Amino acid sequence: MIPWLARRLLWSLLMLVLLMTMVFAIVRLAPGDPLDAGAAESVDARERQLLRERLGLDEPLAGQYVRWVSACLRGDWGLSLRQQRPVADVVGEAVGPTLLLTLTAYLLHLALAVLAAVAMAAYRGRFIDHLVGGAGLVLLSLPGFWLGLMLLLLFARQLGWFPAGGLQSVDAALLPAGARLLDLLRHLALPAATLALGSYMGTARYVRAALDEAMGQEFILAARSRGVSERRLLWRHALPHALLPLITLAGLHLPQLLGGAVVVEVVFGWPGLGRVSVEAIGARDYPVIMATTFLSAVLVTAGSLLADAGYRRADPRVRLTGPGTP
Amino acid sequence: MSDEVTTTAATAAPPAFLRLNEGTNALRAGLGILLLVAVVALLAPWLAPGDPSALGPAADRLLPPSAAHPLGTDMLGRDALARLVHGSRVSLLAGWLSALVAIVLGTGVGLVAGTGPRWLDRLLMTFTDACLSFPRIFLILLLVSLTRPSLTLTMLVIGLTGWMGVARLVRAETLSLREREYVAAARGLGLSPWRVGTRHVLPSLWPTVIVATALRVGSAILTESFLSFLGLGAQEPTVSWGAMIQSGRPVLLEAWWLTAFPGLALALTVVGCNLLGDGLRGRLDPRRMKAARHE
Amino acid sequence: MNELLRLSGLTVGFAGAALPVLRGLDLELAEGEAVALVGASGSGKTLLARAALGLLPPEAWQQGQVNWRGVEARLAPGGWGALRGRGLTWLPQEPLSGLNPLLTVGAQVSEAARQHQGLGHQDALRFTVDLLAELQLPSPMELLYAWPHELSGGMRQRVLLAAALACGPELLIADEPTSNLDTTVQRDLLAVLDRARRARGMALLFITHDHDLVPLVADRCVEISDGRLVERVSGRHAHEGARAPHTVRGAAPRLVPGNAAPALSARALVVRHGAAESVPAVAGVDLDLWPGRSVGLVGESAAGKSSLARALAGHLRPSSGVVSVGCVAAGSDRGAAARAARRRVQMLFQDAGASLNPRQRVGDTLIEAAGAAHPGMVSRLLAEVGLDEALAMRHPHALSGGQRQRVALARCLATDPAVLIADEPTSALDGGTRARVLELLTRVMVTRGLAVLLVTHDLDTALSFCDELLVMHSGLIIERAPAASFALLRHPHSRRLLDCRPAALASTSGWRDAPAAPAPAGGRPFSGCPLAGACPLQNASCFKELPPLAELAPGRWLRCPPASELPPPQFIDTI
Repeated sequence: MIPWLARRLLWSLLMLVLLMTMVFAIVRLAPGDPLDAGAAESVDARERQLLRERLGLDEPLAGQYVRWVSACLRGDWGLSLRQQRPVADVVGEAVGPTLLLTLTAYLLHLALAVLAAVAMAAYRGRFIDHLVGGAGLVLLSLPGFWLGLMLLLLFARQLGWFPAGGLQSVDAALLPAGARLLDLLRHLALPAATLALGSYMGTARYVRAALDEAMGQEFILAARSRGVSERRLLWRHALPHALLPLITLAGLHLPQLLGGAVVVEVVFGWPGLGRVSVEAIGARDYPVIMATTFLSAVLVTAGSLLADAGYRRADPRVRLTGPGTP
Repeated sequence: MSDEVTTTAATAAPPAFLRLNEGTNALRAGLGILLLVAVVALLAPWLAPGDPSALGPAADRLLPPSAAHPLGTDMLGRDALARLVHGSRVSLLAGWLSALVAIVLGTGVGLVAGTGPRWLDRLLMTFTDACLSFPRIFLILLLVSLTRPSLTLTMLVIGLTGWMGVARLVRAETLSLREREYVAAARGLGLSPWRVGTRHVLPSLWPTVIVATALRVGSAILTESFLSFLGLGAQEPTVSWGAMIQSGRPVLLEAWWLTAFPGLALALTVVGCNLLGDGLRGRLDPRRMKAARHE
Repeated sequence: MNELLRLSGLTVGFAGAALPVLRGLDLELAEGEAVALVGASGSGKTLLARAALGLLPPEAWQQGQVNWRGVEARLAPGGWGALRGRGLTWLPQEPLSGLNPLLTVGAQVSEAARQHQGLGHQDALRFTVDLLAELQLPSPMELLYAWPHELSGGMRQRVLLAAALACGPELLIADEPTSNLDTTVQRDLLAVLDRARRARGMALLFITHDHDLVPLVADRCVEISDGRLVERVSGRHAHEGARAPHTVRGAAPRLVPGNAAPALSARALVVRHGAAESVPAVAGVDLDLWPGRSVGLVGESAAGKSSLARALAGHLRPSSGVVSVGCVAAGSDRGAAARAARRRVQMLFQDAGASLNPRQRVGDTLIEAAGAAHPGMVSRLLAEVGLDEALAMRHPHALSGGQRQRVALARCLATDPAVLIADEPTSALDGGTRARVLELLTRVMVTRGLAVLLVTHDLDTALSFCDELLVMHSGLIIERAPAASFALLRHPHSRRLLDCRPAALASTSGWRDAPAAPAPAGGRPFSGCPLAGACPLQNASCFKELPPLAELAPGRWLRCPPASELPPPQFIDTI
């Protein structure tokens, strides 16, 4: 495990360097000067020059690159153009809510996916199979922001069961701890549900296909011929085969999930990385977007590292022997 | 008694309309939906004559659905159905063109990585992995923030950020095809690498690419609609479904129809793409084709 | 004797297929009886097993009755599910896929014990340990917590047998349980199966394609053909008069002409599949193939046979060493000259279906192989391999297994090769088809003066077809001898291969009681002789250095100094 982990960590580091370089390259290679695109159209020439100096746009490219890399490593991305606060503060405040939303939604996503998949596999080819599959396909095809708006309209505006947006109520600070948690969960419910409902079917179809494949294997037939019940065959013999790849899949899903979170954050006013980025766009506050883009990629890299390590723990076939390169 | 017939075949099949996600039915339904949307998009100027962005009479603002305006009117008194009809053009165009960019790029990279020397494969896949680490939407936001929003840019950016999955898929398929014994046999016949590639590897690759295209179109349509929703896609006076949803958002409570119908139109189109992809997969998957042959 | 299982008028078919696979078949099986069911592949014998278990695939339909102890099985109280396990159970063919890779050995065996013996968790584990020990599996306590992938094929098959026996069945249906095992492992498995069966008085339905196995396991033999049971011979007599390895080639061994040059020769060939320090699959092989002669390459799985064959055919790049074709070194795999040289060496694959492009018609395949379309060429090639011209318009999936292998051979011949490397070309075919394909190979070899290397795990096939035998183990050639005098093979491992052939076992009394000697598998690191530690002749020097391949007599080479000092090989008792 140790040599593997060392190699894998090294690989992640290489990825980070690549990610930093790519963000930098995108900003530099984009046509025109970042400031020309409209950030400071209203600003006069002298202020503009000051801004250029502050952002280091006059330095040679190599110098700018070094500055950017050291900024990434120190987490010091300068001042936000729009908020006139350190970018690190703006972005740092947003990481927590985004993680909270994404992880909650992912748990919900997994639960829905496994339940749907098992239901489809257990009733293979029958009414329930097609019903669950059809409903999931429609949910998968809905635009996330629209689904969010509809849920908002129904459950927040019409029925009033959940708050319409934000992270917590205005008076949350005054509430006792238990009530504050409940308040947070109530605020979390709709965004997390939107995110999970719109995405679970992708995983469910995967699990279902894996279940079908496992159920067609000879070892299932052999166990069946030993009189093992169908329920036990599905849950004990076949399901582990379908769940194992989910660990790897979780790593691959992270980018999609974080992307989906952007959509949901905008609709529900959830103060996460996505909303910060979208607000920054309006103001052409590109240092903030550079930081959020880089940070989201770091989260993904860390997530896939965890997923790979988790897979090696979970699968007996690689746990003991597999040399496996990342 | 001994002649009694016992049948172990599947029990009574469910009604056809429920078997949407199965091979042929899915293919038909998906094609049907996409054809319908395509016809609407093509015939938009005749189905809904006039400029969909022209202001309507002040008295017509925010009317609920009625006979005159089946889907109601928006806050500027414009007929929502007419705008919906015109908006289909942007969705289809953006969906197909950006999917095309992604597919061409992805197939190219995947093919080169799958057939080229090992160092090139590693280089390309490392780059692909790095690109995959960015949640696409952040990349898109970054790119869009650096330039002025327009439909062309949106399509290009969606394509440029969507090729990685295709590249991985094509590379994996190419590598597995390369290991087939008939490819080894073809090499053993002394055929040139080019001929082995074009005659024995490429033809088997098409199903993968075609299925990926259909699914990619659906996801590109969704991405475009979100960018339009943020005001970063097609700009006025071009009508797009995402922008329609955005403009309906402030009056969600009073005029839900302004938000609901463009969303349903989007969902229908994407369902069509997904069904088409599923159906094609069912039809083109070599393993399933083999199974069908043995029956 | 009480009747246990009775199939009457059993007809099984697939929806859409023209003919049912099984057509009105009757079979009775009594308590404690061992019956062998012999049939070619595709004859429906597996379908029969699954029908008896009530586990037909969903796309199959069935007519007729399956009775268990006089009651129709599907009407039995609790249905078929209640019969499976306690009443009858199944031993699958493929040891790799028969065990669940994500459950430990203990979990899979004790599950059956808990369910059918009514044991608690601890008792079931103890029961499992006893059972594993009874089947002569080493260190059964540790085996409880082992994962299937850590076991060899033979051990996996015994674990599967243990799981089946843990149900305490009255009837075990064993579906080709040894067809994917090496013959030495096959012998051991048959021995433990037979002992376990006798100890329990359990009935056995042993399904196989190999007549030679019948006397080893069964009292009675039933043969399935054309969907019916056509022949019932007593098991004891089934093999009489059959299968002393007869030669297809018929002529005396052709000697190497003194002045001719070899069509292909390899020197110090090494093939590694992994890094430079990995155990080589081929560990230094010298080899010559002569025009008009066939060499048989035999050995167990993981001996390095296929790697050697692929390296010779240019499909694998050797790590070191030289392969030269007609005095031209075939080193690089680039450029037109190398490609032209490559056409001189053609390869036949085990799975002919996989070696033909499914999208190409037979005729197009042959034209492409020949490089140009001459009039009449396709039909001439097809005629040469005994196929009708009309097949040129077909796709590979519309051909039978034998036809596919013939088309693959025609494709090889289209390049007018000097050397033909055949990697298990007949092991996917049935007895009759196999013999005809081998005859065809012989004819082609003689008329075209081809040099042929036949790779096979089946000693009988090699003996019946080849002029010379090469025995391989751990990537090394351990013995080389004329095939006609195979009885004189001397290497202890070669002897073991010879003696474990089912035909040889049947004439050996007491094979069941022979200790299951562990044969070291290929693919693991060794210093000295790869077989040291599991060899009756080993001495101290065997552990120290690799013995050389020494020439005992013209054409007879041996890599075993102790064996070369023993005079007549018949006296070496390796069993």
